[in-house]
Amino acid sequence: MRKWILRIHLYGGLICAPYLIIFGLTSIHYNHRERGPRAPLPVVAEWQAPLTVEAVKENEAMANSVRDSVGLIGWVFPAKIKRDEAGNLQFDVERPGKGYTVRADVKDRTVKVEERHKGFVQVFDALHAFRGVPNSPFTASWGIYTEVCTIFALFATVSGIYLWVNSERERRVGLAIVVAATVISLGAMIFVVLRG
Amino acid sequence: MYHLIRRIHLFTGLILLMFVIMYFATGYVMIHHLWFGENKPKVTTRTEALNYSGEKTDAAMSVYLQETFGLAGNRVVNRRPNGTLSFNFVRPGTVFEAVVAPDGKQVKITRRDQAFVGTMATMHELHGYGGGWFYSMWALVLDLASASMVVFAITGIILWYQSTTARLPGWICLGFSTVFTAAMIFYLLYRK
Repeated sequence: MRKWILRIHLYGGLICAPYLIIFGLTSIHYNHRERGPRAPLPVVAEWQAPLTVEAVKENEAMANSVRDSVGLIGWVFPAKIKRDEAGNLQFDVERPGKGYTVRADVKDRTVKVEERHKGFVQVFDALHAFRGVPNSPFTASWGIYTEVCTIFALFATVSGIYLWVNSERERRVGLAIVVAATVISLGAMIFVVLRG
Repeated sequence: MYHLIRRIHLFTGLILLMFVIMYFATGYVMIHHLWFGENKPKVTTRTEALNYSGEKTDAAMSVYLQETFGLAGNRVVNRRPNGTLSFNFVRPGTVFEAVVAPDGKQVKITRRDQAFVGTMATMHELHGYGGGWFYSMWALVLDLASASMVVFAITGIILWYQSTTARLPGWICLGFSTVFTAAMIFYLLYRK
């Protein structure tokens, strides 16, 4: 039993090590990040593609189909979709790493795309709790990885205590640390909810 | 050296045990929020007369509002794009928003009593220094718990390397996760 728990603790830890490092570093960054609105990002590329989908009345459905037809991945925010009197549609597509402004011209049958890059730090931060973006099955795999690592972190905590309790070394000092730390931590959590 | 690294791995884990559990447990509730019931806060609003003549800084005014109107929580200053000054007072379970009128004579206070998911999310997201001594201590523990995650991972890799001779399965696990993570970062950075 102990041997198997140790193996899962060890190899599960190696599988989840990159996520735990990302989780730790992004949490520190979040704790020190400046609050408030950020400056808009500059457009770094513009390109054009033919409009291959038919216009439909419903704005969100049309925006999603235009996004898919030009091969973009990301979320379309319904509140930011605009349609003019001629039926041309403008919308934003956002995802970790990049953002786009898309204009679909129904008369000229063209789609114009402006691209903005968000940089490495934004992508790194997004991986803290990233569940994938629409139109991209590969990114959904990060959601599964996050889920596995979250469950593993809880398992590693319990199995780490089990392995430590079954070891003769550092039992007394460890017990003193765990009792004191648990009392203080739980006290702080109860205090923040009840009295804050 | 092995014993020192083992102790670091063990003791950082034991000290921050409850906070690490709390962050992963509340994170799980946030990821699967639909499983945990409706997340609609109960909202109540009141308007109070304001007669503030103290120091003209956002930080001083937020302390005054907190003490005068009993707005418990981590103090956060927001300046809206239209120039309106608003303050949030955030703690798990209850969030207050105080919006000061442009003439500074009135304050509109909105109280949101959160449901379970909201309470868990606020506990998970409580962060930042400068919102009161207790919340600065909380932010310090967040930094320590976060750093301990990095320490766990690195010391765990070193302990695995030093404690086993048959390393191929370990290299496969570590190699797979590292390549997968790098691939995801490159994909998000460079995909059209």
